[in-house]
Amino acid sequence: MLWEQYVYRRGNEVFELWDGLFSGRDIKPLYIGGRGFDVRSQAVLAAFVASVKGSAVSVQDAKQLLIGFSGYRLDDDIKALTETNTTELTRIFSEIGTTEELPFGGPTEGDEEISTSNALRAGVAKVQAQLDGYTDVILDISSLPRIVYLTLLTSLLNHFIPNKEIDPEREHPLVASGVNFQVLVGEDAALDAHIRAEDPSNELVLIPGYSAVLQLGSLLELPLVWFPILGENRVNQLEKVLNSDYIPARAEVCPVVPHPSKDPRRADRLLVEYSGPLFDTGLTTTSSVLYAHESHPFEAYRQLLSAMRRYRDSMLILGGCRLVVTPLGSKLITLGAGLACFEMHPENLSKKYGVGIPYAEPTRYVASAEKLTRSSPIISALVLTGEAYGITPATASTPA
Amino acid sequence: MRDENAIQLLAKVMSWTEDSALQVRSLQLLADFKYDSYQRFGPGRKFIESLALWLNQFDPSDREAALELVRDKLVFLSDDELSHLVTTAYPDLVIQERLRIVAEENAIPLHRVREIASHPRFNELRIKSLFLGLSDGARTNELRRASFGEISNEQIWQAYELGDNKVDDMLEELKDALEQAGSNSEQSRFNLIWLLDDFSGSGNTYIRYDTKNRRFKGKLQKIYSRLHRGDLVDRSNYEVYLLLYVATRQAIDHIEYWAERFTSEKGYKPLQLRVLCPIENEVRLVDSMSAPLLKLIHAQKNYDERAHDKHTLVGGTEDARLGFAGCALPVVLAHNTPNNSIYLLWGPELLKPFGLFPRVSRHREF
Repeated sequence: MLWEQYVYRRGNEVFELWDGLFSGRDIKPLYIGGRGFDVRSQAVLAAFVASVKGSAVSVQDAKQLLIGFSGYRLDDDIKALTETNTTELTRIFSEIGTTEELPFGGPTEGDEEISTSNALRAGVAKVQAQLDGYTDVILDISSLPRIVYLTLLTSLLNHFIPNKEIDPEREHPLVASGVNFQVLVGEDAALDAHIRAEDPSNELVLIPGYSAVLQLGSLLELPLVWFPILGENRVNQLEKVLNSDYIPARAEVCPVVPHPSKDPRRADRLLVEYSGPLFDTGLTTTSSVLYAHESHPFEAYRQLLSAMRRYRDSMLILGGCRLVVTPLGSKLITLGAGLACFEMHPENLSKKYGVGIPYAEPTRYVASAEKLTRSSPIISALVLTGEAYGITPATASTPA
Repeated sequence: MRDENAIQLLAKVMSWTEDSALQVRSLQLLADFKYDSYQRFGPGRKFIESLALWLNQFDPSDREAALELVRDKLVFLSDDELSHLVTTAYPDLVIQERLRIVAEENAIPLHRVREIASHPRFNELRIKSLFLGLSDGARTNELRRASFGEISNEQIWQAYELGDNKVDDMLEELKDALEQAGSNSEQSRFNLIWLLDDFSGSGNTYIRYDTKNRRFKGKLQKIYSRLHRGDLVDRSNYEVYLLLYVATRQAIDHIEYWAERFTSEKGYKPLQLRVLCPIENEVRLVDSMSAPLLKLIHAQKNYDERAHDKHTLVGGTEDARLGFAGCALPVVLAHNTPNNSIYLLWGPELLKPFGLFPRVSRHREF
């Protein structure tokens, strides 16, 4: 397991983490955020900039990449909020560096719309082209759509960790040449419940790099295990995936629900909400339900990874399997699922198993501009690679 | 009883027509998922039948409110959910505490997790950790399994009252394990004490102050005085953690306040409380209830005075309608309903009305 030891901080602990991470060295940070309507990203960025400025650290060539995306239908006040957000994020970051806007998707040179999957691929390539030379890469998912941050997360991990094999004789893969890759989330559970994702697209998106098991003819006969991660108000998105050709009638279905949760009835309510497509149809049974901690991405990662490994090991005896995850839950659980998918994904398909992430992206978001503006999010930070996972040679030989 | 008959029985008691199919489906789904697994139901008894019989005790005009309690308020923690909490305890709490201590002792930045975990002191602290169950719900076996062999048999015990022979065995094993690990530790004593329990509703079981006799009572008082005998624990360097899988905010506040007073008065190391699944005050059946539900819970006819005995008296309330210490919880654990929940949920089968998830009382509770 790659993240057997992990670095995860919430609330005030995040500032202590940054103090430790930045102190006494020169940093060259690349901050990747969203050019979206969710103004919680401002609080996250402001905290980050204040922390960097307050540390005894020399900052060089700091850059913010603001990812833009098109194709969503938003009310006018939310559109206006998107513009204000962009201006504010640029202003906040100007205290330490420059900002560049980077659109994902939209018309190509020939004015033709490209598919979402291709737009994601092209966008990620543009981000990857900018990574060289940065000591710290920070992905702030607070204002990014789920398909965008999942694509960025998995592809950046792929970039920093080209070889996932843990060899005691060699440096741990997570050292990643010393580049500190961290993911930030500004969360406000009460506000999340007021942002409605509506009208899922008819075009299912397959997260780039996680599509072969759902498309390659030679693999389509393999049994499929589906892990839909349940979240409120997304039954129609689940149904889009369920009713597609990707999920066969004989699929093993293991819904994942949040537990423990601040609301101890949350898992029960979600099962009732999804009972129509999942249980009433006989597709799955309540004994197949898995649990993942609502606000601990590394716990969710561990649960999902161990379930996937268990299925893989059993199914390999039968000739192989396809492991498919559809993340509809909170951002923190989705991050955990992303880590599990990354680690589980084989380097090539000769392994007789693979991982797929199909998703039905909503085309419309409805939110209250006033509630968004008043939100005071809790910040979470996950350090995924870099010095946290290195060992100074002298340490291991120090006597007890 | 077969499911179809149980559903018919429920529909009859509730005077339902066909438009109640959705409610029945939801209840049946949650019955399959968890409620049927209540371990105090008699053989062959399932939830829907029990629900119908429980509802049938109330006036027809009160039954909708009683159903509201089940449909909208009930918090049932299944065996699987508790097991899941236990699996998170070792990697996400126990290991994290060891990382923190080793980082502080050796001035290593806390985020350098692999460096800390590679430090010999990290392994030494693993060996010098003692895990004690505070009740039969502590699931010590499950915790040991969840540690993937990092907790040995002689580091974990299902009870906190340790006989001298048991202590000797533990110390012998500790000495051997330290030698095997190449540790040059001078003391073969434990540094980290983890006290384990599944649930706390009020916190009284662990620590309370007897104003009449002016002394502290409860399990913590007994444990601390046992630890300070000096044979088991390195008194110059130790930490005591109370790890609760589930606890209410009321219990958390109570334990933190009284444990701090107790340990500072006695000169002991402060207790460190860790809770995997806190139940916040919003869940309590006091503020946000509908008027019919409030009336149902408080009505004299819906309560049996015999439920209030010398044990519930310790909680300081005049009756047990809102449960021990007036906790007013809607909580049921798969193996038994805590008496901190409202009487209507835990009332024993022989009383009238009986609870939806009747409780089996332990001989000595507090």
